[in-house]
Order: sequence, then C-alpha cells, then structure tokens
Amino acid sequence: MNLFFIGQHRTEQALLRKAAAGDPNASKEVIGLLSLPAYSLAYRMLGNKEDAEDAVQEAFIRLWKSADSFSGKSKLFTYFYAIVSNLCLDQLKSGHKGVFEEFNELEHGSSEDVLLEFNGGITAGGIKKAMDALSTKQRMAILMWAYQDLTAEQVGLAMGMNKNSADQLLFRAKLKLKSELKKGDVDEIQ
Amino acid sequence: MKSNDRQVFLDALEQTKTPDPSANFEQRLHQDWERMVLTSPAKSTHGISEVLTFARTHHKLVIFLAMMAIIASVLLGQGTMGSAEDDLRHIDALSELSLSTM
Repeated sequence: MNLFFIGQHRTEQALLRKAAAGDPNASKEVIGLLSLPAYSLAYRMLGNKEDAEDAVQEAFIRLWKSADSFSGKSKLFTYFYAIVSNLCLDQLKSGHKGVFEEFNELEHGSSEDVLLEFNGGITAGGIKKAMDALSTKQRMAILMWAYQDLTAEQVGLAMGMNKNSADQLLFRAKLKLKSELKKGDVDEIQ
Repeated sequence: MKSNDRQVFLDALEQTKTPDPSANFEQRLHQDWERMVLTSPAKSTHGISEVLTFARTHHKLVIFLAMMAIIASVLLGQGTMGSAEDDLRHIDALSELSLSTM
C-alpha cells in the first residue's frame, strides 16, 4: 500500500470519527459518500428496494457504533460494504432457509484461475441478464468479490462456508457469468 | 490482470440501473445519526467525556501534548537530579574542609 492510500484512509478515519463524535458536517459527508453505492450493492444482493434501504439504514447504525474500530487500514467503502454485505447475508439466510447450506460437491479448479476477460466490453443489459442467471449464493459471492475484493477464504468466512466450498462457489459463479456473457454476445450478433 | 478483470466487471455492474431510493432515504439516515450520536443516553455531558471526544477527534494534538509533557518532566527530573548532585558536592567539600581544619 503506498503513502497516498494510507493518507487517504487516515483522512476517512478522521472524518468518520468526527461524525461519530457529533460533527454534523462530517456525518453529512459520510452519508453522502456511502449511502448510494451501499444502497446499490444491497439492492443487487437483495433485489428489493425496501429491503435494500433497511439494510443500509441498519448498516449506518452499526457504522456509527463501531467508528472506533475502523483502523484506516482499508478504504471506508470496503469497511462499510462488509457491514452491508453481512446484513444482506443475514437477511437472505433468514428469508430463504437452506439457500446457504454447506455443499460438498467437488469440482476441480480454483476461482482465481478464472478470468472473466471482458475483451469486447460488456453492456449494462448483458451484465444484468448474466447476474440474474446466477443463483442467490453465486450472486452474493461474486458481488463480495467485486465490491470488497475478498478472497475465497474471506467470502467463505462471511457466508459461513469453508474455504474450498467458497472457492468452488466463486469458481462456478465466474464460469456461469462468463458463459452467460458470451451467450449474450452471440444473441446480440444474431 | 486479475484486479483489472474485477475492476472492469465492477464498472460494468455500476452501469446497470437500480431504482432510486425513497425520497426521504438520506433524511432517515440523518435522523438515525442524530438519534444515535447526539441524543444517545450513553453520551454524557461531563467534562471528562468532552475531553475524551476532543482526544478522539484531535489525536495528533493530544500525542504532541503528551510528548511535550514527557520531555518537560524528563528535563525537570534532570534539573532536580543535577541540583541534588551539587548539594552532595557542597557537603563533601564542607566535610573535607572541616576535617582539614581539625
């Protein structure tokens, strides 16, 4: 991590602490900075506007409570996305029993070996279609990887799975996404 | 390459539209902040808590003041020890003088 990022993270840490200490301008800045991207992430995970708003609202309450725990080693976005993702996961787990059960199906290959390779670029419609084709579990895993840059082990920790299962989940999610995007390209050409 | 792959995917994802949040969404977040931070019963109005809040928000200044206090106490300690040594030297000299006069 270079000095620029360390400085940036420290500024975010100071801003968050000011907000949590009662500075209204700092709180406005933090809310303005995080609310919409976090809402987008929650909406993509939950697929429902009201649930997404509730998750973000609860995430902010947790953020104010845990402002002292933010060490400034990562971006504030990443820290907040982790809170939002965990809340969405909890909501999905309670709503869809069995969706997050452990699975032992084994496939060879590591998720890190799969490159999505967006050579020709992708359209918004294409990516939406491809994301919709993923299962809830696959979508959660790929969103956590994309938004938070989590490794398979970290995704596994968040989703209550072991590292191998999470790696297989990400592996299959990326393969499916890749094949759906290719399918979309072919459809567009035809 | 892999991080580039992730970034391109993220950028594409950001292009997909999500419905706008409710009009009062941000306002609700501000109200929660006020309730949590400003009117929370845990937040006392004691002088000590204000000092702690100040220390949290101005930690660099607090570190600087603590350093200054440590340096000042070290210098003061050295000065005290130095004067004690001088006193001992005076006593030695007096006792030598008194011995020599005997």
